[in-house]
Amino acid sequence: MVIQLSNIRFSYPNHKDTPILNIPSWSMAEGEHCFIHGPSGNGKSTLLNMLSGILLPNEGVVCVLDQHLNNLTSRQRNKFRADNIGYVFQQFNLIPYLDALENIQLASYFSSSLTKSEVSEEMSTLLTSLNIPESDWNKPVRTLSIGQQQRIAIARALINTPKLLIADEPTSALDNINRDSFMTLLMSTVEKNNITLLFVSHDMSLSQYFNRVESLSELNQVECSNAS
Amino acid sequence: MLVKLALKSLIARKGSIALSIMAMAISIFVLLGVEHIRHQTKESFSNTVSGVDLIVGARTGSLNLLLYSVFKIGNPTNNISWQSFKAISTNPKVNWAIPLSLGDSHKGYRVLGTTSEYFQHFSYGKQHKLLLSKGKTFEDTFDVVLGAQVAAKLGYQLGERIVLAHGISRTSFSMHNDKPFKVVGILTPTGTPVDQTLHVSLQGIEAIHTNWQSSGQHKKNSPEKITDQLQPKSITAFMLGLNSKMTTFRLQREINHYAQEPLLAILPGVALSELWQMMTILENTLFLVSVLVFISACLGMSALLLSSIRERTSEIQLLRVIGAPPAFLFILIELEAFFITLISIVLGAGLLTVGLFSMQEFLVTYFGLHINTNILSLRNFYLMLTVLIASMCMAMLPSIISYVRSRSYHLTH
Repeated sequence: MVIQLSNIRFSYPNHKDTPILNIPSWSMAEGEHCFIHGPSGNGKSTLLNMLSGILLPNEGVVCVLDQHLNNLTSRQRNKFRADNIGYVFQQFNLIPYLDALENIQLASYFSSSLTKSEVSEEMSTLLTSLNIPESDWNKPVRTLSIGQQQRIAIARALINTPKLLIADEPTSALDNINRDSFMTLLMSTVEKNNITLLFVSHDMSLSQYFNRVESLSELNQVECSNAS
Repeated sequence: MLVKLALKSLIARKGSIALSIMAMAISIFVLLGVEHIRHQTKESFSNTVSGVDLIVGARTGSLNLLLYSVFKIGNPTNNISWQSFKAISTNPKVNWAIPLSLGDSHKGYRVLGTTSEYFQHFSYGKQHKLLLSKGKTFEDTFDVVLGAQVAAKLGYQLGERIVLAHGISRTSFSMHNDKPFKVVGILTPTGTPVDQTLHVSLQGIEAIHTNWQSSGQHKKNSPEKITDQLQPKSITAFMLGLNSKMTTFRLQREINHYAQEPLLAILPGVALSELWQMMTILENTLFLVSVLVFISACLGMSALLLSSIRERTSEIQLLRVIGAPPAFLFILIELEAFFITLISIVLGAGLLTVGLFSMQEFLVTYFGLHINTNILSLRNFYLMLTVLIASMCMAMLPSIISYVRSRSYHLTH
């Protein structure tokens, strides 16, 4: 199992009586592409933070890639995250004043998955396959279009050859045409590299790309839904 | 990677960073400047005279005597008689004696009347004797030996004839026009007030003052003929070298109790340390002010870094998600502070070098201060290191805040 959650309970320390997460049991198998539908404010961000090991639950066990995150130190979790989990956000996926290559290098800096020469080789392969023209590789990313930035974000997320890719509303800043080409690229890249994909969005129309679709409100059984 | 990230993030915010660097560069300029000048002044003063055991002049403050006799700062209060000089210089404890007669000038440079003993015994720095780069020492009444700077600035060559003025102002109305002097020698540079001095014989000084107002009267007198009338009646001060250092204090007491004339004998080293004591309060005040200026620049930098952390919340979040440990964020902010300070130090030191270079002449002419433009001494290196460490300590606050924030942050879009 790539993800295995059991009896997860979570609330923020300063709001003890408003639970954010209550997940009795949930899991994802290797190679699965799962679409989780849910508006923001349903514990979505908290769940994703937990899967990437930034937050730990108050109760329950988080198991990612057969690793009990609860048992790791924060240093080990940082390393684990860098090595095994790719992450693509809605926006601000890249350091704006670095260029595409530097952004990807930065991500590989925290991981020991690849050697230096492998990184530069892998970078060109990824950027080329994601349709980023070579002339844009050395421009500060803030000068590039949002569509391009999101595609570079995929390359950044995949550089350490993660087994799990988490995408958090990556298309919401894109227009329709860009969104469709982004999705096609993302799905084919994930397919090619045999990566398990967890995709969270409020846009139901994207569910057509996935073989497993879930609703966050079914997954997360907390009564009140006023999470931050 | 970390260094690259820090540098690129500074470049990305160049507007505000440039201002912070300017503030810090100026504060470092002031700090280094005060420190360098006070050290150089001390060195320049201490190097001016060496090997002289006692300086004797009319009764006045010991500092005053030291300043006008050696540094040519200020004016002599009174002259002393030639008889007193004769009497003391023949004392068996005395090895050599150099009479000094001041009061005339040439284009703002002071004229020193003395004897050939001066070139034999006067030394500066670490017991360096005066050396001639050209020509010879004065032999004739109307011969003059120039300090290196006088010759260089006024462009005088050997054999040139120059006119001395009465008084020490640069534009004197009473010129000793009738008695031109001939340049017979030029000294090598010493880095002391000697470089700004014209040296003539005591007879020369006497000659230009003998009825100098009734110009023309002596015009046809040959130097040989007047020499014997030119026994000086008084001099400004004299320096003594003793046979044994052990007798210094005894002779000093003897001179101070000299019955025929009120005299004052001082030890140059002791008088100098008195000078430093007086200067210490001023020096410390200046240093304190420059330290405060530096601290305020550091605080400015910290405030800038702190507000930048607010602006960069999403950047910090991103770094955390791709696996950066909180310590990475701490070091990143510290590195930014390090680079800001480093650039400021280079700028401040450069500014100081340029400033000193352009002020050098002014300081030499008006204050007789020789400031070395090379500020790269070990002392200043330590000072710069302290500055660097201090500013990184000041950057601790924003760094710790970024550390704490990145630890406790949660993804909230």
